[in-house]
Amino acid sequence: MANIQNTTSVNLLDAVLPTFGNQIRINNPRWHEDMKMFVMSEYESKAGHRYIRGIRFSDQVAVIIDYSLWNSWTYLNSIEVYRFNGNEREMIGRKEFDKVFYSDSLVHSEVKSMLEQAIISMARMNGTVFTTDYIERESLKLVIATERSFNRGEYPPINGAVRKLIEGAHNVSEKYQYID
Amino acid sequence: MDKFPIIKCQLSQNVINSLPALSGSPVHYDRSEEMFITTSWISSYGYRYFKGILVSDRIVIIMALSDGEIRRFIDTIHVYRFNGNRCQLIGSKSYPKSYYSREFVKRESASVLSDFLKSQIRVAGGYCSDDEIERQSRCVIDEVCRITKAVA
Repeated sequence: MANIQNTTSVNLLDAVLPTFGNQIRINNPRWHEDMKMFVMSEYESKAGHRYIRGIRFSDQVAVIIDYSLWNSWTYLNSIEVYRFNGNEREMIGRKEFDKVFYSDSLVHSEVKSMLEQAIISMARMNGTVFTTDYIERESLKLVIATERSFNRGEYPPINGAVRKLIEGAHNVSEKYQYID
Repeated sequence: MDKFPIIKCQLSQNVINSLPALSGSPVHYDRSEEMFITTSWISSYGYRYFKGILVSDRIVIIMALSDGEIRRFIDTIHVYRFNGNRCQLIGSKSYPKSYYSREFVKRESASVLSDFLKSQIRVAGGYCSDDEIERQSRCVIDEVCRITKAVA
């Protein structure tokens, strides 16, 4: 029967949970099951606050979420919504938040609202008219498609393009290291 | 005889160097709670908020705790791994209005850790049964409780 030692050529526990003082040997993307996102970058400020940039995506949309851990609280800092153009992502919406507590329902409603606005503006540019119901329904489908679990096998395997998507963002520390 | 002399030495230094930065405030060991505790603050309603920290040579568990009038509540659990001398978040869970108990912390931390290990195995394209992952996670968490005591 398979066990953790023979799952890979090296002992997985040593590779992904190295002992204090040792570097991580297998630096694969990290999936946060509770937040339902891959961690793109993480930064700890001198004051001990932690800033995290995570991504969740579907076939059509990627959502990048910046949040921070301050003492006992989790704050939502910004949400960015992207569409795909080949293997590249193009921003279609962005919103910043100031002193707002993180909640899944808030992220859900904000992403849905940004997608609605993006669909409306793109439809206008193409001279197409959609009903409000249709836009809401389609936006909801797109949001729900991004809120899936990697551990339940709902994401594609991590190939080169997917890895590039997860790792290919600017580092969160560039943005936050001067704040405190 | 001390069974963990090297770990104890490394982790004592780690507690001194890293944990105040992680928690944002100084820490001390509470013998009755068998965990490191940060300086607390008291809200206008009289609730005391602080963090509890468990540490081993592989992971750090940080809990946001609050003392109500009668019971102790747990708000969040964050689990970190080490990358060199720095900590890296591997998972977290939030609990609205849940009572604190050591068993609850062990169970939930093992669940966070097992989610992380499952995802790492999946990313690597490997396979391991859920039972085996959960067993290994529980071992690591039991070790944390044991080593925290030894470090202190």
